[in-house]
Amino acid sequence: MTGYQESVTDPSYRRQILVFAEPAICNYPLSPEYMEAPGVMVAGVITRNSHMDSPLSKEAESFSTFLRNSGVPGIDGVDTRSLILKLRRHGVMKGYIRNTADTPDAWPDPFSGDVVSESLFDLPETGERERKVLYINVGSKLSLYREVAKLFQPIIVTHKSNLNAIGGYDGIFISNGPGDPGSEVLKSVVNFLRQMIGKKPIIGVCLGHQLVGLASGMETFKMKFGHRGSNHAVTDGRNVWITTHNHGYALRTGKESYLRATMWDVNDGTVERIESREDSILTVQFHPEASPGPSDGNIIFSHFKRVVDGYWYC
Amino acid sequence: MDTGTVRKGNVKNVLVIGSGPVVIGQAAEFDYSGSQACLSLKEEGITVVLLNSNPATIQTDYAIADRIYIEPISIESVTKIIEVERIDAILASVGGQTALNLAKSLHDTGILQKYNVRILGTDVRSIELAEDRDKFHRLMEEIGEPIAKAYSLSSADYIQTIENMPEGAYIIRTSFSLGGTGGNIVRSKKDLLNLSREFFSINPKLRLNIEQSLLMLRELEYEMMRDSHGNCISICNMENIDPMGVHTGESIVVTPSMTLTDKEYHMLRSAAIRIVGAIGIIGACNIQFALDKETGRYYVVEVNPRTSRSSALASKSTGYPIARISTKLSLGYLLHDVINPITGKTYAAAEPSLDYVTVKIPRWPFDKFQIPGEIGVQMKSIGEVMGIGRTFEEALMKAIASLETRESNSLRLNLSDADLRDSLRTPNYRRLFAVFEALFRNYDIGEICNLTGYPRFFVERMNDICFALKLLTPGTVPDHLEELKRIGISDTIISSFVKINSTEVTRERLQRGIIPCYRNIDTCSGEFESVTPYLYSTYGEGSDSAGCDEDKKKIIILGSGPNRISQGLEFDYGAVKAVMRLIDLGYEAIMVNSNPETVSTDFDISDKLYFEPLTLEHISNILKREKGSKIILQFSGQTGQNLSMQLADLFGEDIFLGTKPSDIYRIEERGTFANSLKRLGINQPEYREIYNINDAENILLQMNLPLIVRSSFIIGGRAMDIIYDRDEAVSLISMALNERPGYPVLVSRYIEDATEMDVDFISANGNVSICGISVHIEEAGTHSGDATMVLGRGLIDHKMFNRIYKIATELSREFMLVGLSNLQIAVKGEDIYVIELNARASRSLPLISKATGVNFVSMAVDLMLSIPVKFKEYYEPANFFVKIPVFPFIKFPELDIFLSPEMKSTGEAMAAGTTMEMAMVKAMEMYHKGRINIGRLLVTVGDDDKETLLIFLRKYSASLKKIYATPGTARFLSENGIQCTMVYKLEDIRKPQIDSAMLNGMIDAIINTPGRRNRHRKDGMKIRKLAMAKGIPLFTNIRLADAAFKSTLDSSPVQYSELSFYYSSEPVDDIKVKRDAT
Repeated sequence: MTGYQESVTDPSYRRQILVFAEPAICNYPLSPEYMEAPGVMVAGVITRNSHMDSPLSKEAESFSTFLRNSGVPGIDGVDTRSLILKLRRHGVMKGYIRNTADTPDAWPDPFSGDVVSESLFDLPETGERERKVLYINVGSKLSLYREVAKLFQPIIVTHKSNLNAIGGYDGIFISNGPGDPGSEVLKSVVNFLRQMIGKKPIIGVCLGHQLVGLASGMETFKMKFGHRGSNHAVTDGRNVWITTHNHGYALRTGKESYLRATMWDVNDGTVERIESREDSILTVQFHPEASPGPSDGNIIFSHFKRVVDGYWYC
Repeated sequence: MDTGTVRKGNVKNVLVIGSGPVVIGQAAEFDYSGSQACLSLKEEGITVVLLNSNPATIQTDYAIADRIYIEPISIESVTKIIEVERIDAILASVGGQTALNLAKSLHDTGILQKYNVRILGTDVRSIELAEDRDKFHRLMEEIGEPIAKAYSLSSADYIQTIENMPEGAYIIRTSFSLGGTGGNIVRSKKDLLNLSREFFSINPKLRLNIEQSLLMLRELEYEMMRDSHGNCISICNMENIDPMGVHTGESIVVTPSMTLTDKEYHMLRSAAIRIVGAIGIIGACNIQFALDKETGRYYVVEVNPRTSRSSALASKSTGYPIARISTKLSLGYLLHDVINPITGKTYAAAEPSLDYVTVKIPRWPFDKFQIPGEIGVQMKSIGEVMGIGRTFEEALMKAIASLETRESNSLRLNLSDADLRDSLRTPNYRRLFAVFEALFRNYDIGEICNLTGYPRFFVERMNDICFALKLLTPGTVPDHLEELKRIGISDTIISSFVKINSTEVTRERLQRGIIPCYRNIDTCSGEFESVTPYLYSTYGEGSDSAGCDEDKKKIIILGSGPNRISQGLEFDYGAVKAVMRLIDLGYEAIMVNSNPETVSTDFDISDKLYFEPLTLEHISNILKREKGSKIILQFSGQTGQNLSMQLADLFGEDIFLGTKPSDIYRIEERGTFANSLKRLGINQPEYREIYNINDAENILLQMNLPLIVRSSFIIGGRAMDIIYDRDEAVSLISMALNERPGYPVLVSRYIEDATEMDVDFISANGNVSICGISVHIEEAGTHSGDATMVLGRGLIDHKMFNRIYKIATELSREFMLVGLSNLQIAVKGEDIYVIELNARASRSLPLISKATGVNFVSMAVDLMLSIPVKFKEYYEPANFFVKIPVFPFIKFPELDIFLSPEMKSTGEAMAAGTTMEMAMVKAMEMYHKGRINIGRLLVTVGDDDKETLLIFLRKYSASLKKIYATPGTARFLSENGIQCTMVYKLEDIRKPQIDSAMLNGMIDAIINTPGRRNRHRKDGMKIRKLAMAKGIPLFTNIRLADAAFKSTLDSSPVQYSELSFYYSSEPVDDIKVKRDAT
């Protein structure tokens, strides 16, 4: 029942309609503290029993006002479990929300074009740190950015920046983001990473993890219905962490190239972490910053630090 | 000591220690966790040896454990079992505090080390860290977890310590608390001082643990699971609607938490992982937090280093089999080694995600005990119900429906405004209903929240329900019925608001085709396919599976709902055994129950589990869905009997297996039943029916006193008492008439000094097998649930048996009894009086099954299905068995300690022996927690008992070193030549006074019988309370005292034997011989 505000403001959900499995949301008031972006990022919200119109506190606005202000539609009272079972059977589907009875004429691919750009916003300034990372923002959540900025001073760039033209950093970080990692608009990032492997320490999360995999020669594939939510167990064979996931694509196993997969999803074996000792690379598919979700994987940030500092595996 | 990280293969024989009889604070939840743990061990090929003194649980059945000891749970018995069974490990985490304490003693006395036995799972040192308040506080401070300030008081320094403490509210606890016993809240230092003085006057050696009270903060619980490698997950969190100050077992609890933000949720989850890791838990554990929403600060309240009541609840509310997985972890498996059986695909290393809400409400005995219903930090509830719904509203309303109390049908309370406000402010068993009532009276929601401390979210949802109900107009079933169903409002409540009979509302709803769909509980919100049909209903959605196979042979079995006094887990035993038999026979066995604590609501026991209230509404819905299904009511206690006529009204009689509803009606309707007996020429106590209060006085004048007053269709002797006074009888009759308007009250003559017997039998077509005859030790008039009962070879002579058999046969023919029935008779001299007949499994069913080793449930099920069963006149036990009731008096200071037709006991233990004396020695050991000494006896009895006492004392004069007596009794004894020392009543200024004699250890045992005509005499009650507080064996009945004293004369050593040893009477001296032979 928790984390609804973080979820609807998560840039990785760009152009997607979010169906809540939890029967009730908006049981506690909205707060600026829980924003992952300046506004709502999802394309629509579907719930079973949300309390959208009662603000629950004097200061906070109601959830429906919140959605309206971002121009995002939401519907409540939907049999979400049936919808979810349908998605489980058939995989993710195209959908629409409208207040007329007719179906739309056209069903464009929601991820066509540059969905990444639509998920970007200005990340706040941070203080100085000893080391700098090139922060490739491909749709970063605020909380991920905050965690990384605690460790390094970020030089913020996007997939559209001329990456080769920038210098003066100690490592490269690639953020989370929406859509297909194989998308045309991300090719420049993959190419850049390919060049940089072995030259600079590389760290990344979620979409960033997939892009590093692609750069190293691995392949990605579209999952049937992906991993969402904050209860996914990942393991290295002995340790188990419960982590937050939000991805519809994953790295294919068996094609690890010189990167080693070192963590997997307990249930379906999805690659959750890849690394290379020699080349100082470490990326994870799950969200170590959680928000929403458990902080079991938070320790990854200290590993990130060590990778960039150059004493990973010491 | 080894931490117990043994892999499968290292252990062969595991001893599982059970929790003993059901008591408040340690109840049916261990029936669930203990049974699941045994099955989990068996799955690993381990031989499960079980010790539990509780015959009522399915755990002490060979379907669950391989070798069973129904014996006292003591160091002596365990030592013997360890030796004989070559035990190499003990599982002590599924038997509540009883098992943990025993494990600690075994460790401290060096027995574990001597026999090289390991404790599986969490080790003894860790258990101590969690349970010893001092050590726990120190540990929390070390790891920087916030905890309320704590102090420890001893009789030497408490005045000084209290003086130095800051002013405020405090909780007083004694170490190793059990369900919060000894937990009291005091609101000031002055009260703390007074209460401490009281504690130390009873026991100066006591240590009192004092804690700053966190009154009115939010209370949250996390159910955690940790493996030996340190991986730790949270199975679920639970939010108490009641704020801190109400024991979590007494709180209304919602899963998952509804009002926490993500930050708060994970702040507490992370804290839980740190704490559980610091303690070193392996397996399941439960942790409680207090949260201050204003400041965002939290406090650690408590850790239970074992499966607990909350584990049972969390297990049922998430579908995650906590006890089963916990047991696997204690064998050394890691979380990602173990498959989650509910999906069959995913691993135990996953935190369940819920797309529904569950609400738990405790079930208190205040509807039976006529005492104030305040609740607090002490456990007083006996059981609980859980409602599952897609929304909080739906779940709450289902939980309410499952309670089976008067308020649950109406939602209204008849209170003055002043009393209502008080009921909101002071936690009590009807506070939830007080909130509804206040909302109906348009109280401000903010005010309700302030008074109760309930979060606004919950009160607003309740207000939605009230709002919908306020709009209803009497006389018609509303057009928007479907909308009402969608917010969870039950047919019964609608019926009470529109003033139309509830069967009619249900009929109308079914005709309109408004029926719910059914959703799976799958631990994963539909993310993975689930192989287990664990279902709940909701309205206005689709169902998870297309429907039900109509061609399948299927049978619905009703469970018995919440544990309460008079309807406990002994009924669940029958239900589970019946399910097992049906599965054996190839039927689809469908279980319906609303009790989260029991085995019947384990998803893997039945083929299909509907977790629903046992009300006409929900059973009708299930019958509609499961077309072609038959239904068995016999194992649901009185609940099923009460529903039978309404169900037959909607679905006809053909769907019922076992005795038909119309026959049940002729039995339950006491007037009709009495007429039938008269016609058959069977003796019964003189009786009269009273339909209205105006006739009462006239009728009573024609009858001889004493009398028993009872109304039709009642559970467990509610509002029954033996009445020696006509005015009292009139007031009781008027109460009973109001309780169930339209139904007559039956007044019958109480037969004094008779012996009561419980006769259980199976029958069909007039053929009868007597399964057991349990003889009450106390004279007739003590409720059969409260009586100490004996069963054994040769207890009933041939002539008497034949007469009983004839009566049972006649009744079986008259009422066409099919399956199990229970007959209660009173025997006085040559006369047999029939007191009651129940066309269902009785409370004594598990007892007689375990005394004989015969599967009576299986036979009964066969008879219901017309499968031939070989009849045998009498399954007489080969040895001797005593059933000992367990009472909750210590939890209810206002309740006087004496027995009556109103049931008071919460559970039972069984003692077995090759002789009656040996069984009784064990029984007394269980009852009085050790062997009793009778050397220095205090007697104080009512006039009616004085002659009997005289005979009694003469009989035992050789063993009695000294007799103390109160003046009246003393005078009588002296007149009759028995020497005794006079002790004076409490208000007397002469010495010695009774209380000081008791406090100074001058007395070993007490016989105190309440005067029959004046039971509630204050000084008698004080003596009884003090005896209980000091743990001095107290007998309030001379027959029971006689049986107990007789057993003390027997000096032969006590033998502990495996249960099957008692099934035959062949002279085998040692269980070892038996074991090697098999």
